[in-house]
Amino acid sequence: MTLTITQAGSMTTVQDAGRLGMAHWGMPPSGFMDVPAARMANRLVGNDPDEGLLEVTWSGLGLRTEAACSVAVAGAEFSCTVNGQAVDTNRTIHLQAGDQFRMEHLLVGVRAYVAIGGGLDLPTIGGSVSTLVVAGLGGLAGRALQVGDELPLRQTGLRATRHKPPWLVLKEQTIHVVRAMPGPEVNLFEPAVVSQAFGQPFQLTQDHNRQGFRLQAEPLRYPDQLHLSSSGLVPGSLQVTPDGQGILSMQDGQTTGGYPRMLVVHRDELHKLAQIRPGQDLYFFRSG
Amino acid sequence: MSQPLVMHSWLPNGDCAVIIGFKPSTDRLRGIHGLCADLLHQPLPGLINVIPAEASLTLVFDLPLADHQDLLPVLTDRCQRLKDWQPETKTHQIPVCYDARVAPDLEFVCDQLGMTHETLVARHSAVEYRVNMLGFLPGFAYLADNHPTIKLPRKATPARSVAAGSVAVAGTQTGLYALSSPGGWQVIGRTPVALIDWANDHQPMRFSPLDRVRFQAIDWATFQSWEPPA
Repeated sequence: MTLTITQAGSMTTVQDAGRLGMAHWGMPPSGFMDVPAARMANRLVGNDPDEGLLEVTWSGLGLRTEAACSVAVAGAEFSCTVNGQAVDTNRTIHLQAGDQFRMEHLLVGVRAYVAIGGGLDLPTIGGSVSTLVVAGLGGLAGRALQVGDELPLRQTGLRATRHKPPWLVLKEQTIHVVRAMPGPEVNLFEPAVVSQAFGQPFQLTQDHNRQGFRLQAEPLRYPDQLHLSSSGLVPGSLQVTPDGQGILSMQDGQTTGGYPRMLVVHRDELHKLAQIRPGQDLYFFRSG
Repeated sequence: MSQPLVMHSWLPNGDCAVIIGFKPSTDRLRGIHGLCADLLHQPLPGLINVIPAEASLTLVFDLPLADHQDLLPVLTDRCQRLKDWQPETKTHQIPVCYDARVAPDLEFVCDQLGMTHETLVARHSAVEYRVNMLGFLPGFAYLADNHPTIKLPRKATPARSVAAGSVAVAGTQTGLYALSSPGGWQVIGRTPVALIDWANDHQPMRFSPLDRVRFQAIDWATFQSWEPPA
């Protein structure tokens, strides 16, 4: 049994909890950008919380099902329809054979997670189905979904109806704050520059993807006479480039880096970054 | 290993990871790979990734590090154990086609170095390299050192797409692209052999750190008709 993709969206990939234990080969962790949202989507269809699902970015997905199945959407808020009729996305959505499901308009946030009851039947690499587009591996043929793709399902049939708790429905917000601790090279920056980084707003630019987000802000004075040896890089690291701007590494980012890191966002705050839109303000709150 | 690896710095890298720096020594890189292999073989509780680099090893855990004092004696002990460690290394013969049709930067590199194509190929394939590291992207291999005359900077602007199998130079090293990806190294050739085999779950990478690599120049016809040995 398969789902046929009728509308691919600008960047829809298969993701799960990620590919761990392979960073020594240069393998980034990959996986859900917004972990709590992805887990919620899986829960709404009765899946294991870390089951593989579809991460939909910016523009919506459309699909047609060959057999009855249940789907759920969490994370970014989209208006959704089944056979042209609006449906409530705060609960499990049940589809009958031949039904067309469409995500019409993005309302809040950036990334939505579409879980399918029973999960997708895809081969794993390193124990994960996550797509790493930059390396062409995982997911469906190592790439973003395209119209006409057929996604094999592990099982079909309807799941019990579950509801999204109202406090977990994503709300519109234009200012984002994430907790972060000083980075491994923070001492290379002058104290005033460190205070600047933890006080000023950064704006997300158009240049952002699963590898990293380029930020725009009042430039941070780059350290003089810098000879840095590369070392292990984790998602959420704010690397400062010689022009004084910052790049935040994300789930598909490279495993080592050579730019000085001003700060590193706490692991349990990373999910907030997944829903920031270009132009919105991001503040780093110093936690340590 | 003549002298064990000595830890000399401990830098938090976010709330769930730490970068351990080691005292400089001639054996440091071997020691780092030894400790990395040891931690992969016998992981510490909650350890989800280990990232070796030239002078450090980064440990990534599944939860925030509550008290790193507990880790220090364990890691000191693991470093001590390396005294008797010998890596099992292999020597690889890798065919490379140094032809402009698969080496977009070949002409530029020859120009920059003031070398003929023949000299570049002869010198690049004369050296035995050591795999210093895999990383940055899956399977990308850093090989040291180039012939002393083959030394040049990275591209100012990285190429959008570098083909899998590309053999490239930057600084004093040669890099091998296991997968097609963007990249900033100057591409001077391409190998027809696959550098990753995902069907081999246990060891998908052709190279392991500290392995030796020799390049064998092949012509365009051989490259095109290359078939992996059955």
